[in-house]
Amino acid sequence: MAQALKSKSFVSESTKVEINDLTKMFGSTTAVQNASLTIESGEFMTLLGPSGCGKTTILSMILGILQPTSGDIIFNGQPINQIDMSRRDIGMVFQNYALFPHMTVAQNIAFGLDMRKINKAEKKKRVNEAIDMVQLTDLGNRFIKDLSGGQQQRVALARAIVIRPRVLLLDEPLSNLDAKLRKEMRTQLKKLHNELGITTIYVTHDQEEALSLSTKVTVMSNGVIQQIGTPKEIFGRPRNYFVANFIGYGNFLEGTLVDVQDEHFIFETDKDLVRLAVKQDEKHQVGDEVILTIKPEMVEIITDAKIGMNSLQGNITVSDYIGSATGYEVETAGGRTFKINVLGLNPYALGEEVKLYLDPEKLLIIDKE
Amino acid sequence: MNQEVFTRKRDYLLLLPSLLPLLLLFVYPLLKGFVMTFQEPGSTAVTLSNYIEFFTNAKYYDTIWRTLYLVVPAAILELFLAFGITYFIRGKMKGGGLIAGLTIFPLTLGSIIIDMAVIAFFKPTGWFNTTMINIGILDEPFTLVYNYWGAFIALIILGVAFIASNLVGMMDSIDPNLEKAARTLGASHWVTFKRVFWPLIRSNVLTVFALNLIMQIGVYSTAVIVGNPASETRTFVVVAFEEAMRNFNYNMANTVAIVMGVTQLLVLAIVFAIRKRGFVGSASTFK
Amino acid sequence: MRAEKPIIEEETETPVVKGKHQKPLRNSKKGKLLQGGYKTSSWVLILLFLTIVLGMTLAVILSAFGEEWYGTIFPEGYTVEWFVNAWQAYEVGEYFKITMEIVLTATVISLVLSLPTVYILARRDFPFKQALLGFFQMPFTLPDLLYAIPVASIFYSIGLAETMTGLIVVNLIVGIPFSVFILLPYVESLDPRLEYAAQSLGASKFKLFQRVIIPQIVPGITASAINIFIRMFNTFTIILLISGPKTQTLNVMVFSVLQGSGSQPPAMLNSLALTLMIPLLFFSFLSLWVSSFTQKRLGK
Ligand SMILES: Nc1ncnc2c1ncn2[C@@H]1O[C@H](COP(=O)(O)OP(=O)(O)OP(=O)(O)O)[C@@H](O)[C@H]1O
Ligand SMILES: [Mg+2]
Repeated sequence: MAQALKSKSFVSESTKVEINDLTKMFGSTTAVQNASLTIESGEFMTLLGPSGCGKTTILSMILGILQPTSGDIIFNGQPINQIDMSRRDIGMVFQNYALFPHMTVAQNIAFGLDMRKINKAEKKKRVNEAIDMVQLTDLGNRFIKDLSGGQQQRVALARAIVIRPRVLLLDEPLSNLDAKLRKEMRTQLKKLHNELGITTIYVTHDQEEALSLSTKVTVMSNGVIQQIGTPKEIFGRPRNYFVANFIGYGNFLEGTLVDVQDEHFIFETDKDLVRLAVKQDEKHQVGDEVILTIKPEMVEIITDAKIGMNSLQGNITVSDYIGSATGYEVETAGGRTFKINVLGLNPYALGEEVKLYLDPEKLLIIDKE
Repeated sequence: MNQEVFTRKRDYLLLLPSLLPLLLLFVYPLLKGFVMTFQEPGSTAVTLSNYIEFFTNAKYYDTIWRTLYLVVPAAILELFLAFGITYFIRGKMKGGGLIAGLTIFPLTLGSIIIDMAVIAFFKPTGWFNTTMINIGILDEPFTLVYNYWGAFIALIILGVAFIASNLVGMMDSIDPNLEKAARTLGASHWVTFKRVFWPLIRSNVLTVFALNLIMQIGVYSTAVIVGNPASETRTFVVVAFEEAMRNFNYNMANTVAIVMGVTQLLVLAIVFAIRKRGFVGSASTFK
Repeated sequence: MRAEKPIIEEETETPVVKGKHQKPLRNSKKGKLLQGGYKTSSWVLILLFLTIVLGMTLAVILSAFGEEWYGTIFPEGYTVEWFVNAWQAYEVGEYFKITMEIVLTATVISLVLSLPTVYILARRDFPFKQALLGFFQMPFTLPDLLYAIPVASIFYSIGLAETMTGLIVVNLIVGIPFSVFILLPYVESLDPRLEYAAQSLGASKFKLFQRVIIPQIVPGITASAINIFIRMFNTFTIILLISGPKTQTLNVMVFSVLQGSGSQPPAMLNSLALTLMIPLLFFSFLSLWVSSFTQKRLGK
């Protein structure tokens, strides 16, 4: 890795990608709706969203496989909508890798260089560097069918970066790998990005990947961009119900902010008038109709007897042991169900009466749609 | 595990109802037919006279040349046409299904009807000639039926349909992402075809080509109905039927059939020798 | 190459803000020209070919129903007279009946004879299974002439030629192996546990067949029967060799008429071709329908 970095032969010139008001319709269905995005040069941007939300469609439009219904894609200020896909200088790692089965690893990697009419000596040098960089040093003469999934994934990556692309696109490149390999490849990808600094757009529906890899995350749902921000912003301050739900906030309470007491809002649910304190923020004020949410792992189960502010009593109705933690569902007297994750193996029994504590600092206010 | 149900050798008797008729109706005639080619009608003495007759009498050995002269150029043209059409409409092209359907349609009608259709369309007073004369390309009708060209056209129509019907599925089995990958790496349409698509489909195309060629070497009704079976389109099967049905010389008829079978085998061997020199394997990546 | 990709009309002249040391992206003019040429010529080729295919079919139909058609674009009038004449003169109805009789009988016999074999092939592994499967493939991979001529000579010498029995029997040569291959996937997809269950309840082997296996494969058998039927309806070479004047199938009869057709008016011959076209079209739609139905059943 270190040698590759020194040689600099992969460091491409940086490109800023802008997407302006991009829309794609398939007949009457809208796959992507008025998406606008800016990816600064050298940035690692992750497109996150559930299956079918339009991630691949956006990549395909950047790549040139699909023509946008309306809107522009701009590389360093130049609109590229009319540029043929073979001229866009984009490195792409397909979801199923799309490696040429009739070529060896080296031939696969060299393909893009052949198209650029690079001379033989230079080509050989760059292919070898790329093979080394993805740690496939002795496999250059193998055919694709003789490689494991992880090795194939690395060939695809090498094939995409050896051409020194302006932009690197990765469409769920790790989704076909097992959990362990996925983690390993994730670190490698991250290293690689740090070394090369290529503007990268990464598609996934795995939030862990998004969190660990990216400098910027875009969350989509049904073709509409929901929130753009750093991983921290997205995970710490989801903007709406969809984003919060998608990244793992589990418990939602609808209600109104009715009062302020020592830098805390007092929140009251609409139906059963449960009152909760929640840390004050700048965006909201008394009278706003909002949703309160908290992650299952943030809900605490407390033992001392007194029932005070932000604590609720309930019975455990479901218990689900998932390895390092146990997931419970607790039904309160008012008929609400809370999802709770507790570390350790099954500390509480089904039907047991417990008290929940919703820490005002950990509760989050989000807008009602 | 299945042995629990049937453990006795006796159960293999269940194979007999299908094997016995085939032995009687297929294997025995096949062998007898082969022996017959070494006998004269009405005699059981072994002789090479049928083969000697075949290869010394122009009436017989001409059929090799005439069949191949009709069928080989037709098969090559069919391959180009069918490949061109199916390649163009592959993937999700709008109307592609309709074009494929219409191209394959003649196959459902079969050879006899296509022969009649060629006559109706290409005869001197048919639509083809009247149109050509009306737009001034021809001065007088071009004779396209009851000769070499009539059989040639009918073969083309059916051959294109047959090859296309096979190619459609083969082209769909090539992962379209492979072509997209080549394009994004900077390849033009032509280079993508030459370096990615063709190497991947080549072995299958050659197989279909061989099958079609073998089928057409056995051309009969076309040669008789729209061709000129007395001279230009006197193919193997025409002569074999003539010997069998007019002269009742089954020995000679079968000799012709055997020579035809050997010719087909040779064609197959040549095509497969070519096929071996390239990538043979699956082109669909996992999804 | 795909419909979604619009043809790019011209080199786009857009104001270019240069990135650090980056050349603006450009299209290749030559590539666009080549692509345009390729598309145009492909369309020309496709339209020409399809025009001929459709024109040919239409010409047969118009000619069959045309009153007088000589050198004009369309017939001068339309009539069903030729069609009716052809139907009567060549006793199409009679030959149709004969064909159905032959093909139906042969289909049933093929199914009955092949079912036990299919069962063994689906349930048992034995040393020569692959060889056996290869053998069953031979009748429809070898050129039919190779066995048809000796069969004809044998049938003429033992008096089976030109009889209904003979015509039915020769259909089995392709019918049996064809039905083996077409039934095999259905039987393979049956759950063998049902058979164990039936046998543990004391069912004899015949009962097993009758009560457990047969009911489960009735849909598969129906679909297969239709396919075998269509296949046999098109049998040509061997029937031609052993058919007599009164015992021949529809397509062989049509062929014989067309072969010596010098004196007949074309309208009459085209009507005859049409009588053959109608069942063929009907059967191919039927088979399309059946195959879409069975694919659903087999979960493919
Ligand atoms: N060629 C097409 N024709 C019609 N609809 C399409 C086409 N391609 C995609 N769609 C639709 O557009 C929507 C977005 O699809 P897209 O492939 O972008 O989803 P995705 O976010 O990549 O999902 P996944 O995570 O499953 O890959 C889907 O509803 C899909 O059905
Ligand atoms: Mg996708």
